[in-house]
Amino acid sequence: MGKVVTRENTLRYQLVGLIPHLRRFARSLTKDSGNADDLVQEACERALKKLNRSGEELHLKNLLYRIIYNRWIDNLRRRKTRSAKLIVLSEQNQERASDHHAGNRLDLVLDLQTALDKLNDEHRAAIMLIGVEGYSYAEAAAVLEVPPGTVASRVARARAKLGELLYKRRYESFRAKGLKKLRKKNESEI
Amino acid sequence: MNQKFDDLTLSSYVDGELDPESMREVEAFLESDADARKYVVNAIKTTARLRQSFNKVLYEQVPEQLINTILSQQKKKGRLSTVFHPALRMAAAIILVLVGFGAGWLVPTNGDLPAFTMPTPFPAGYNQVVQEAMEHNLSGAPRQWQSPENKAVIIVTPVKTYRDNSGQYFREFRMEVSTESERRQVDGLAYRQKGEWKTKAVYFQ
Repeated sequence: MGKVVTRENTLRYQLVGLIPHLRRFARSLTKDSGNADDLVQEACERALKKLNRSGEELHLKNLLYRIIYNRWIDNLRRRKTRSAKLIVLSEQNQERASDHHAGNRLDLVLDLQTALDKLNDEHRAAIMLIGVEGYSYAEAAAVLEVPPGTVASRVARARAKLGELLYKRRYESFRAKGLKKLRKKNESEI
Repeated sequence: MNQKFDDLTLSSYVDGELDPESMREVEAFLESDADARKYVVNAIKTTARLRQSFNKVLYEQVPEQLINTILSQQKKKGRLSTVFHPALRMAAAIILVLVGFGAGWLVPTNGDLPAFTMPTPFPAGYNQVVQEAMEHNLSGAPRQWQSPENKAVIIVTPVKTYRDNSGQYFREFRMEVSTESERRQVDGLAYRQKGEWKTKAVYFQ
């Protein structure tokens, strides 16, 4: 006898189909495959509960990305609270180390992964959704639960930082005063 | 034309987020400004490198455990979110606790349970077979390791998977260890930390 096709079963198989994409996004946040997989599993469980409860037709992939991102940010906050003292100490050490190597710092060109790791989590999530997942600003805004203008700003900042780290370029020329502000697509929604 | 655009606008241009008229204005500007062109080229290059780097994940084998967890919930609803299986509490109460694989292995117990020692030196494949079984095998599917001289065979079979309220994953497993002189079955509990499985507890049959 074949399996009964229920909404929940269908959702589960859709989730399995999305796993590679979810792992990619989670990996970019956690930088670690084990933690990324745990995050994906947790997101799938939460999504199933939410979808079973609400009965709404939600955009499954967006919902999962949103859960992954929110869970990751929550985890980071908890970790930061626990290890605040440790972070302060390590920052002091870093300052000393960077003073010591100040002469070489400008010549440093980083590889992509290292450069990406130096972005803050919000900027990294934004550049991943736009650059790698191919989301529009509006779609990424729905995942990150911020206005599309904030997504645009985070992506631009991420690019500026990556540009500095990867290509040793600074873009002060574009930050001069009196710049022309162009109208964005769907600006009324922003 | 002396008009300059900020990096936010150029970034939006790269992402195709400007309206058509603005896109044309930026394109005209790019023809006359080398710095802006460099910004756009680098932004496109970075995006391409990001995609190339992270797309590798799409082609990696998905851990069977992950698939199994998502699909298996439909058979036994809510099982994964249970805090701790009662049998495991009992197991934890009667057994010795090992911190990490290889930390002493199955040392002699308090007398109620027979002492059991593994061949010396400690089998190098033990950690590997347990890691692989925990990470990739479905519950009920065994994974075997055999020493090069056939002096020891270890078969590890995950039995059940749990997760506690803090998000920690646990797997019960059964392990059969056969040496030249004896054969022993051991049940255990492992937990996943930073992508690695560690033995929490083991107990004899």
